[in-house]
Amino acid sequence: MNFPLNAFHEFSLDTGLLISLPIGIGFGAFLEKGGFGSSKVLAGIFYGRDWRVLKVMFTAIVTAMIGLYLLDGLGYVAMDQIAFKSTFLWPQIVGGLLLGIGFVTAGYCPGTSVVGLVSGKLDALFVMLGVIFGIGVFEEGYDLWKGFYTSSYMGEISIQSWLGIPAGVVIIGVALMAFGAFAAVEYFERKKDGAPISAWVSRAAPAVLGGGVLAMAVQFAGPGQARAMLSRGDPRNVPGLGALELASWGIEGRVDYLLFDLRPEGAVPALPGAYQVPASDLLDLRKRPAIPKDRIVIVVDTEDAGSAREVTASLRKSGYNALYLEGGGRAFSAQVLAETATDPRAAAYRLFVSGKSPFGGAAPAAPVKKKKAPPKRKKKKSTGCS
Amino acid sequence: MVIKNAVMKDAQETQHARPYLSPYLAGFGLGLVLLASFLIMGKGLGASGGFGRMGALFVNRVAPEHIERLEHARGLVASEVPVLKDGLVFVLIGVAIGGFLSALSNGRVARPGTVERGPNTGKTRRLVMALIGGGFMGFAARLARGCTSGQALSGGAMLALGSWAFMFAVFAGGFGFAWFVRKQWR
Repeated sequence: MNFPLNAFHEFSLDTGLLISLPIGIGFGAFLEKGGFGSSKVLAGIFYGRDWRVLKVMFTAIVTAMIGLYLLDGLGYVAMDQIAFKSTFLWPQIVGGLLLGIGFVTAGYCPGTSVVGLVSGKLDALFVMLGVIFGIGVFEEGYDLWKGFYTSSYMGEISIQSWLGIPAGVVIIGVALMAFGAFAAVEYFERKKDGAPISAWVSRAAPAVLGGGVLAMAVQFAGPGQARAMLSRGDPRNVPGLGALELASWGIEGRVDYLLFDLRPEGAVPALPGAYQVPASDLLDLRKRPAIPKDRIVIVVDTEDAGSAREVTASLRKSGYNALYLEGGGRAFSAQVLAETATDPRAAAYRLFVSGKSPFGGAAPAAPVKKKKAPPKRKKKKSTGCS
Repeated sequence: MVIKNAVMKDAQETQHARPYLSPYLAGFGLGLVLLASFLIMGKGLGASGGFGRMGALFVNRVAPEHIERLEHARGLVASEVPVLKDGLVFVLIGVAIGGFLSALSNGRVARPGTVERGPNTGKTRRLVMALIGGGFMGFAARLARGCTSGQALSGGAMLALGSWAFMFAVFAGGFGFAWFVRKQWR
């Protein structure tokens, strides 16, 4: 895995900015070349006059999608290190409707208004001012729509995890949909002068569908992460394990799990058999210890509210079977370790850990090696460009 | 008549413009830039975030005491890092540079101050529409946590569920409302 570069190399803020600039230049250049420096072209789509917006946008989405999932399928990309848009379904639908209304009224979307401005268009400048004003209105009245803004949260959920189907199927579906949309508008455009569409289809089909099929095949066959990430972790929905249940795992002598205690060393005694690892080390791929994939990982913090859920979600994203300890170390102390805990499992566990084996069943059979960071990988995560 | 002349003149200004690139080629290029952003920076492209930072800077200049009351903007200006020293802002600066260079080399830079509009729409009306439309989009981009770049393009390519819902909603909103503002383009 070599990508994304920022996850494996430390970028200073200035480096991040220096990289953002050429990316922006490429972005702006292709927007302009696509015709997006003109509000007439942009608004044309909503009147069926000019389908460039649809063609450019879907081609860009399909290109980046195929590229990303192809490289993931080949094992070159740490997909869980690429920022994934969380879904807040209703705010996004209402926001989309409002943005569409604003788009057809303004003739530009926020990004293209910049291209319009540098193409000499005064109306684009007014769009930019309007956008800044609109953002200001949102911030001013934040308390009024905070409730709606944070509603219908579904986590970092992809289409494939929502539908419960492999990523490869969604990829070919999106490619087919884009191809269908292109073919439809090309057909309409040709209808005016009666030209046949067959020549266009024979040129476009191999490119769009060929790429889609390739990405799908590699997704199914390759060692990609996206497959394991069918459900990208949502900290609110990660599965937990009860304190007493964990105690009974210990009594049973199970060795198929590992305990990670996030609480700082020395502050409280760690859970018997647990590794004390700070949450930041588990959240950061570069610092995460090498964990055998066949083990269940149990994450313990002081309480539920700690980082346990977040870390569990992050581990699940990377394909681990991770659970968090419900109620955290505090619940485990009260329900299992305390002398007042009367549940038979708790009593048995106390007897077990105080007996012959100091670690009980919680001791892992094989030691976890702290992954030695190769010299190139630096410790801190980039602070630039968030 | 005056308006018609103005429109004619605008059209003449740009009559030596070269035709646009094939939309599929432009989209392919855009997709590669987006892919590069994913692979290098670990995130997609965004436009509205940079606008938010410009707005926060402006409010901080004219009313620094007021920004304390704004939950999100407060954090932006309170940071040790200057508000505009941010990747999203630099992407926007890059967009301006790249867009300008492309428009210039293709003869598509209009006479500064050009207001694109239909022959029956006055400049003022068009500018007011641009401002109002922009206002809607700014609000919408914050509500949806991204605009056409950050949500539709970047989230869409990653196959994020909400980004696709957003994208379809944008088209629904645009097509649904087009009839009401049709006159400004005719």
